[in-house]
Amino acid sequence: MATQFGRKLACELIFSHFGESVQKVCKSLVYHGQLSLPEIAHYTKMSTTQIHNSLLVLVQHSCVQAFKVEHDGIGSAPPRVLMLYIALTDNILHCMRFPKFLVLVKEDVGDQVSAEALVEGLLEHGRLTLEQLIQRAAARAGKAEGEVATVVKDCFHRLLANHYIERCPVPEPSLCPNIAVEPAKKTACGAEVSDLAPGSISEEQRIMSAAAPTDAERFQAPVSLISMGGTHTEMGDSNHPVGQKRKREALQIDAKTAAAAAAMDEKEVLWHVNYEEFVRRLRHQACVAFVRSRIDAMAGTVLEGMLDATCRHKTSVKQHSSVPMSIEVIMDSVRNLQLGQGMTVERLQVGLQQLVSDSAGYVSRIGEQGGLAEGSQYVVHLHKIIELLRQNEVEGIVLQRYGQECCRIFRLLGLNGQLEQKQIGERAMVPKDVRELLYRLLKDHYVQVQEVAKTTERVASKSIHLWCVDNQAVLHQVLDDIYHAASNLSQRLAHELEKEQQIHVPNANLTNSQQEQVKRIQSIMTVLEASLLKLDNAMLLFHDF
Amino acid sequence: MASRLGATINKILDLCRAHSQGLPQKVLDEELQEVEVEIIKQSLNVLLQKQKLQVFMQGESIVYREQDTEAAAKFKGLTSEDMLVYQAIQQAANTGIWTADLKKRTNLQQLQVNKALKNLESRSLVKPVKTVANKNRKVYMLFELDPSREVTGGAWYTEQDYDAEFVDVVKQQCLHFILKQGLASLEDVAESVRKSGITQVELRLEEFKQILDTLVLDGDIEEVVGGAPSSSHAPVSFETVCYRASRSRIPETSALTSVPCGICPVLRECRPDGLISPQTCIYFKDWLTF
Repeated sequence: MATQFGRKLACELIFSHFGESVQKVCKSLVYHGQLSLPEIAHYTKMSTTQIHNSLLVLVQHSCVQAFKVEHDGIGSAPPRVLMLYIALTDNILHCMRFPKFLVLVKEDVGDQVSAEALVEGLLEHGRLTLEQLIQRAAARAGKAEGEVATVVKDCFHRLLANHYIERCPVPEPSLCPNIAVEPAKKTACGAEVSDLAPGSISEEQRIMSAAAPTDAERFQAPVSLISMGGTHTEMGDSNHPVGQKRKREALQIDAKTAAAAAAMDEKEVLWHVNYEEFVRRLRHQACVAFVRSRIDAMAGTVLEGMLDATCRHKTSVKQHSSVPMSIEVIMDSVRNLQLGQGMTVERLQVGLQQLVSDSAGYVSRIGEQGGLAEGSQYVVHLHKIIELLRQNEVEGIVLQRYGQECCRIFRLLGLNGQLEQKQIGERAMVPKDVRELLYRLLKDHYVQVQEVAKTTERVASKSIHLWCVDNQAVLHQVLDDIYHAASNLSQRLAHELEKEQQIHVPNANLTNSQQEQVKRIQSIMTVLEASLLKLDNAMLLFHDF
Repeated sequence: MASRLGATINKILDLCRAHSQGLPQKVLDEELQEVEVEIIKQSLNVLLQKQKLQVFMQGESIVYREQDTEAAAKFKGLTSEDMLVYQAIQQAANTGIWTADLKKRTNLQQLQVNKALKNLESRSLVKPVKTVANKNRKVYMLFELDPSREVTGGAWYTEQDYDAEFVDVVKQQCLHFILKQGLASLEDVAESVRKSGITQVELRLEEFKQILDTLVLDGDIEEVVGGAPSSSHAPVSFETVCYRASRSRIPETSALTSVPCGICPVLRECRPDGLISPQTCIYFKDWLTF
């Protein structure tokens, strides 16, 4: 992503997780785009083995993606194949959210400690094979591998069914060179922002889509699990005996090759956490919470049901609208929820009616037949809810930073396009201070001013100045501020910890004052880390949702 | 010669009386065709000086009208410059006219304008009024007129000063009423505030609308089209705008602003190795002392 402080934050996270040399490599990739190995060496001035190791670590954790670009041979020279690396800043920033992901897994897949432990292992190590997962679980529990294998595989299957984990992308996909690469433009504050046409996909996305396996393959369970036929499979229970029999027959015929394939599957296929799914769930949670506070709890439950039903038909994480759903589908889905078990058809209809009639228009009904909502289907427009949430958040920030009158002016300009200073003063009822308030907002890029000359010669005193709010610019600015705040928090935390290093060593005989210091540092850590987690919510809202 | 002048004067007056709506220049020319232009001019001047005649511009043509004796007495003794100034001020009606504009309009020198104004003021024909837009600026208007709302600023200004407290009081009252009622239209709100009698000042519907718009901008209430019929008025039509409490209020705390960086005035200058840095930040120090 293209914000100045976003990159800084990413580099800091890498430093705190992996150390300095990895950070250097990451920094060069983040700030300079796609690089090949010699270019990285040039920027970081480290030895090739060091760079190699750092890159291995980064690729292991899905923070860097390697890819090949084939350039056509010039003249008689053979075609060259360049190996390039690109940093995946989004994935790096996900490091901040690991605790949230773990909580999500715990809530969703049930209270099984092993499910949480599995995900934890994957997050810790970046990517693992099934065999390694089993080994890790066995080591932790202090039992033999055979004992834990079934439990682990069971959890694994459950996680896979919910799409929380997926196969790793292809290590070195091939791409044709992008000839018309637009040069990075520098903005006024010295940050490099690469300018992209709104419809085109970024380099990062292009590479990732080339690397990613198809959807069918991503969540394909390893062969061993399907042939296991033990506890449960992805197929329904009714198919269980039939499928099992067939599979057993097939296995009997081809026992050896199948066993070999299964073993290889377990040993060689790497799995990693599917960040998209986690972000999607967090997004749904945010939408439901919003509706719950805006209308009431029941409408929130109805929306939750609708969003759950769409999980089966998802296309991409950032989809704007869900697929149309009929009432029966929604009803089934709501009944599955914990809070929706006592739902009757009438209450559901009331809830749907409330959602549809909300002026924000994030649920719409299509295909109404004969006045009654019998044959109609409902669509949820997620992007509208997210937009509302963002707008709300930005207005809250303006309110707290600059005061109520500035907030009024900001909202007025947001609703009414371009206005002159005098009109703003009258409508917001702040005739005297309007100029000062507008300038304060202008300084921090929340509003913009455009000069319209009255005469052909541009005389400054005679031209009209129109003030307006550019939503994109404001969102960008707010996101940058959030990253800046997060970066500051983590730096301060590191600084405080550094200052108190000497206390932690002698644990036995601590004087009173030292105990005080320990308490103080602990409370500081709690405050800073809790604020970071809260700030992370805002980050998700403005960037990932 | 003098008799010819006198005769022409009388003829003009007769014509004016005949055309009580106003004697257009064309008609005058037709009737007085036989008289020389010079004499017409002189007679017109005499009549103007004696304040017996008034000249108007109707579209592109000049129209003459007789002036009754009262008005003539009012303007007796005034020079033509005074009259010019007076007419310019008269044209400005409610809004009044500033001295610099007056100068431009009448094409007179500053000194002459000032003298004329002093003259008119002493005869109580015009008066100066202070504007809210620019405290140092005075506009002149006819004595008998009331200054318009824009000049005095309307109900929200007491003595040329924006009365923020008064606005606030009215706002709170409106908000209270709307929250109590659940759903209210503009007229309901206006009536309730008038009945409560918190203020003697007469507030018009437009001013109430201003207040309610401000409340909408503050995020306390929201507009709803087509509300329920209210008790005191006839059933409300579907296009009427009603107001009710807002469902999503602007949040008072947010993740960004609960951290010192969110409200820091120098956030843009903060760098890790700069004068202002997170390691040395005083706001952080205050925030982290328990």
